[in-house]
Amino acid sequence: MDSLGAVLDILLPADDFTPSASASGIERDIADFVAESAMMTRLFLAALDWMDHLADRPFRDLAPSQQAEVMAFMETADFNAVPGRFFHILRALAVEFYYARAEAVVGLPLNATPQPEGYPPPWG
Amino acid sequence: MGLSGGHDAVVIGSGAGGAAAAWRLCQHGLRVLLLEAGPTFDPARDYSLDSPGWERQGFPVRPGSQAIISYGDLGMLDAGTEDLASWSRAGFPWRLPAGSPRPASANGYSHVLGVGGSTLHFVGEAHRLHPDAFRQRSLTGENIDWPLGYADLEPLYGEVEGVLGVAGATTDDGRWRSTAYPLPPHPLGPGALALQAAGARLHQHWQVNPHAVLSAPWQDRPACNYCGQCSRGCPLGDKGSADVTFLRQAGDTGRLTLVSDAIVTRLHAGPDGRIARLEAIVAGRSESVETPILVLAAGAVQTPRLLLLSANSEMPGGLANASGQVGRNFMETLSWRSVGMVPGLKGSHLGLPADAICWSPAQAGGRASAFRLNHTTLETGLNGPIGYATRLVSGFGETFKSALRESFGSALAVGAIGQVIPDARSGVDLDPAQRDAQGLPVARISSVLTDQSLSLLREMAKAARAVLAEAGATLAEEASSRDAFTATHVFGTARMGADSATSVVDPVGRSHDHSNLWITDASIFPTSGGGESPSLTIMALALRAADAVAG
Repeated sequence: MDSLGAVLDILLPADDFTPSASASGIERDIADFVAESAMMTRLFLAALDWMDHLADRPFRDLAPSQQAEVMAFMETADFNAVPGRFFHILRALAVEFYYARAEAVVGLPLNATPQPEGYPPPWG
Repeated sequence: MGLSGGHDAVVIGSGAGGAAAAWRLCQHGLRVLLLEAGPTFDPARDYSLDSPGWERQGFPVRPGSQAIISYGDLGMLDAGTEDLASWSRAGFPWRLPAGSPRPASANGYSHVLGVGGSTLHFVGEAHRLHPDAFRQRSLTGENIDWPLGYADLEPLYGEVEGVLGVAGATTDDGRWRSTAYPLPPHPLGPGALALQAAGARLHQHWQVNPHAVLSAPWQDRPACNYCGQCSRGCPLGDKGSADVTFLRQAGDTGRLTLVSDAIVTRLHAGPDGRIARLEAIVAGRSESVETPILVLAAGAVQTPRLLLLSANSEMPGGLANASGQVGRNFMETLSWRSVGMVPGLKGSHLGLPADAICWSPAQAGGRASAFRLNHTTLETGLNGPIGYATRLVSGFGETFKSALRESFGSALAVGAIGQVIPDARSGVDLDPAQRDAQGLPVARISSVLTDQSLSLLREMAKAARAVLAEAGATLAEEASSRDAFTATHVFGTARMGADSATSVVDPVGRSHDHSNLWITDASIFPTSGGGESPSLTIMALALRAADAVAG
């Protein structure tokens, strides 16, 4: 799982408003979630191993442009094979854990939580 | 804990029908014992809308708040209906192939066991059935008529609206009223206004959707602050769920004894045909409870299950089932959803969930093709970033994060719910293999979409897509009953009628077979209506039954 943080930061990098995935701490959330399922653990280990053996260096040591190229391939790969399935499952988990954090909502027209303020009108 | 004695009537289930019946019986001076299978929810503790991560949580699940349900025949996915298949721009790029059995979704039969029942997670739509829906057979020759008419329920609809605090606008859609709505309508949000404007150009009449959600303080409850999360549980109490309306007011009479976590396992009929007593598990102990009057309101899945579980040597087909209709005539929620992205639209995540509705012209005349459209952007979860990121905005990296920020508030979702005609293959029975924690067979739902349902689904899709196109939307997601069984509104499994040979209860909800047994949930609906949410009608029928009980 050593490359998981690097993969997550390609998915969700820092920008002017919000922190990177690794800075937000979701790597731990995802690792814990995956550990609860043997099947999910096998998928993650197989995919990360595949990613770490695409070049002479592990994924985390590739140049950012190379990392992005790998992810773009995986995004459109067959969902019934490991790279494609891993990409979409990891992405779904990553955005769910990431946008559940208050710091990730910065820049959106939202309160950190729906209550107690709510969103009284006018809304125009 | 002894539950016998001290009560005049026993009510099973504290959702829409049980709560309303209990309230009315208490009003009539009866002492009511209300048994609820699920727990009591504490809004302050359980509805965590003031905590980060709220979007990951649906309505809370607590021990005992979900019944085990199994599924039988749900039909097959047909290649000829691939045009109705679900998809989303940012979801998993995979779906079940044609030829696969239609599965139940993760939610399946979406319900809550708890004090207040499924009103705890409803969004509060407060619909009266269209008057012509009661006379479908007479008007069209299809399906069947109700054994009562709109005029019989109209005053009761008004009473229920007063208890709930319904906010609405009086419009001429055929549902005539003798009283005004108690509260003024909620303002339409930006998404609803966009649909109203687009719909007007297509002769779709979008209007304010009446809601049991307070637009102003009412009695002891505050006004809504539009957090937009009604289906996750209302922490303020402005939503008119049964716990803060009928049950609270019934409690104020001093004549209601409400027992939660009380699982009724069997009814016993006496030699005179009356239901003499019931068995229940309360706090882990078996109880036998006398039933001078019994009101059964466990919903269209658990009500037939309990009647079937109560079979005996004299009634091997179950109680109240001389007609053989218990568990039959099941009707699911026939639903469609189209979502589009509208460039330039801002703030579609704001307002009240399901704030606008458009009734199809087929409502008038009671036609089987009746349905409704509604604005469902908030209700379907597109009011937070996780909803956008997992369903609408694909990609990754800075481009993705930027696209999510720029598009947030521009999603526009149209939902549709249509009529279901009962089919011989659909029903609720006892699963021969699966049992619950008490060792009793669980309810098994079979529900097959007929050609009529699939044809109507296509009509609903056409109308939803049309108004979105007119609003300038590019489609980004669609989902429907075609691909999976998901049902919030279920009906028909103990239907009412004047003829004891073809119905379970009479026109006031009284069992044809057991003179002290009444049923007051949606199992007694002879037809589903044309997309109306059923809670208001369930409650009105419950008041009518309770009035009959009290004589």
